[in-house]
Amino acid sequence: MSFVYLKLFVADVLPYIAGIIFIIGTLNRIINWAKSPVALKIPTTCGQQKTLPFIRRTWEDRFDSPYTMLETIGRMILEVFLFRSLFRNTRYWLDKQRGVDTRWLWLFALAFHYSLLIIVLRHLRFFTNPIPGFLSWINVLDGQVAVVPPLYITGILALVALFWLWARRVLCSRERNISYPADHLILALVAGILITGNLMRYIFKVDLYAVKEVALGIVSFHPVSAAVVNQIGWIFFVHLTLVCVTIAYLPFSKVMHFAGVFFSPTRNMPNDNRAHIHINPWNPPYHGITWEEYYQMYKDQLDEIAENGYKVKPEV
Amino acid sequence: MIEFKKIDGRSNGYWLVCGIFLALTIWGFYAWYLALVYGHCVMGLSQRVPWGFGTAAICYTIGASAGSLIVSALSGVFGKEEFKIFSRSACVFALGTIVAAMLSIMQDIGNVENAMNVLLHYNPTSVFSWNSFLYSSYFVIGFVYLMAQFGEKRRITKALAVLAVAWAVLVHSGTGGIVGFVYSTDLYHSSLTIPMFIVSAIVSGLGLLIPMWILTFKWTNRPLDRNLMWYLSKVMGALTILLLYCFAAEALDTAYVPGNSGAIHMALFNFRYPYAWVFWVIQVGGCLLTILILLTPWGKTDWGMGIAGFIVAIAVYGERYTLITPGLGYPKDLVPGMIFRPFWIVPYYPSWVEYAEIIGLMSMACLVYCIGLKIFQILPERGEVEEA
Repeated sequence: MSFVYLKLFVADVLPYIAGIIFIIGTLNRIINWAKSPVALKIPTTCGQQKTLPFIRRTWEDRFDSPYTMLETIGRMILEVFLFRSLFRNTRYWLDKQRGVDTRWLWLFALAFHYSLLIIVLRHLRFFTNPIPGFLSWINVLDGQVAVVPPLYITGILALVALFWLWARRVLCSRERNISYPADHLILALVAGILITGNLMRYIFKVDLYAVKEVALGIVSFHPVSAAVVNQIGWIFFVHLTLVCVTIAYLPFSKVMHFAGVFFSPTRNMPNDNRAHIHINPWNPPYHGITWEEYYQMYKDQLDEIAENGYKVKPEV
Repeated sequence: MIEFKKIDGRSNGYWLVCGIFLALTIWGFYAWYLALVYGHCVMGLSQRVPWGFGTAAICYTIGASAGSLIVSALSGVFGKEEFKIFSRSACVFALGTIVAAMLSIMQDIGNVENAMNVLLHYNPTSVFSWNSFLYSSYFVIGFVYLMAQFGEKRRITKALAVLAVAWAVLVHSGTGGIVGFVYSTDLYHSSLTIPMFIVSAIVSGLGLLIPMWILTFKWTNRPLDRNLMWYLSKVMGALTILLLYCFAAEALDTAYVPGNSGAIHMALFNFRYPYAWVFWVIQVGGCLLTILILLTPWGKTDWGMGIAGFIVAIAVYGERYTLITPGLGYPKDLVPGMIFRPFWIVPYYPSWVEYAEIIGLMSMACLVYCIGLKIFQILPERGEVEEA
């Protein structure tokens, strides 16, 4: 018995299983979020909200405390692409009477996420044929030709940033206390993917033509044969298995914040509480009563008041 | 509802304990590095005795892991709800020791990349191939079981506990099979080896966990119910008696085969070689001393239970040693009826490298446990049974 059946399973079957779990799981969570009623208007804000005309409101206030839907969308875009809320990661120590700037979290989070984005884009060269032109530009910008093969900065940067973010969860007591085992699990999975990916590129090299055949086979629903997978080294299958496990795990993890941020009531609502009433969808349906019904309910009292000429004296 | 909490882990004592374990782990990995660079000649191994302390460490750590996982599942499988407070910490220790076991295999095979051969050239008729599947799947099952416990998923935890215990028994049976199935070595072949492995796994698991829990609760200033520890110590003592019985049965079984007389004489009564010393002093002596300690009133104290556990853990390591090395040290009867010249018995003395490797790997498991206490919620706020 040979390893080939396992290789074929990983290359031809596992990606589809992971993909199906990911799609169904993600849709399920998104539908759940979309169906959830928002009882209160709860945008988190930290700027001057729109009020009387003579209260000055800067353009930053418009994004920190959006009033219109356009401002809310602008805030969301800045949040998604620049992580503005993390840029406020400062703390004040009461006992030490001083503030601490901990905005390195923003820096490393940004470095990690953008590196990951570029890594994913770079992988498109395996899944497309012909390769889109912009990918060669990414490769030129990302790869440092001083090293052979060109050293991809993002591959290293993502790993460094990931370990920094992980160290934050382990070494900082506050973050350690609020970290769940699942937080470490996803970090470990991503670390495993990045390490095997880098190892595959620089140390245990694999046949990239065969890898491309596997990748194209996955997206075009044409499973590859045993002859193709046999040309590829074992580390590729470790890498692919970790990727599939991570993709299948995503819907159950906190990584769903990539979709959740759009459904977060603290982010997707304008701060217009004073101008527009927010109806709680949980409120029971309101049935008013007519004057006739009201009169029948309090007939005796109302008649008595009418007899006295509507002069009501307080009881002493 | 039991409340599990992370420890603060800022005291000097905590850092000292972690530092000691880290230093020992680094020492162990340095020894491994020496073995990688200079080859296995830095160990006390020889052509005749290629399996030594390292292989004994594989069996031992797998046993300790399986035993710990069985203890971890006491509440899930056997309905012993009072032991639920220990389930997470025992599971973490079980995972740490199975990683130590797999690293021990890595150092034994020399070139680490050769580990992939078991997949590349899978041989379904080999007990080693079965074990490669069992060990890796055991880690995954144990890991998922731990995650289910963290998630407080009651039903899944219960189901996984049953699966984990069954798998732990399978895993250690497979390990026992490596020795027990071998027919060509006089002292190996025995059908009793597999059940004996399970008994010694639980004994060594308890032997390591009891002192570990006593120290953990003492050092983190958490109350610990002595009755629970005493219950576990009694189980450990009873199984130690059973283990002694198994030793006697296996030795007599092997000795009764006429062709084995020379081999069994060397293993048990020839004090010119280390095998008999280890058998009588460490293995049997350690077990007897454990039972003796537990029978005295002092055995009910923290120190008594902890030291008894530690001694029996070493005694089980001695058992692994005498199970593996004497069989190799005694010349094989390759062609029946013919005597090979020179016919010599090869003694096996482990070098410091082998000591360093096993101490380093066990320290690594303990370090994982210590760091786990700080990062994960594995220790209960109170080590006592809660009143309903």
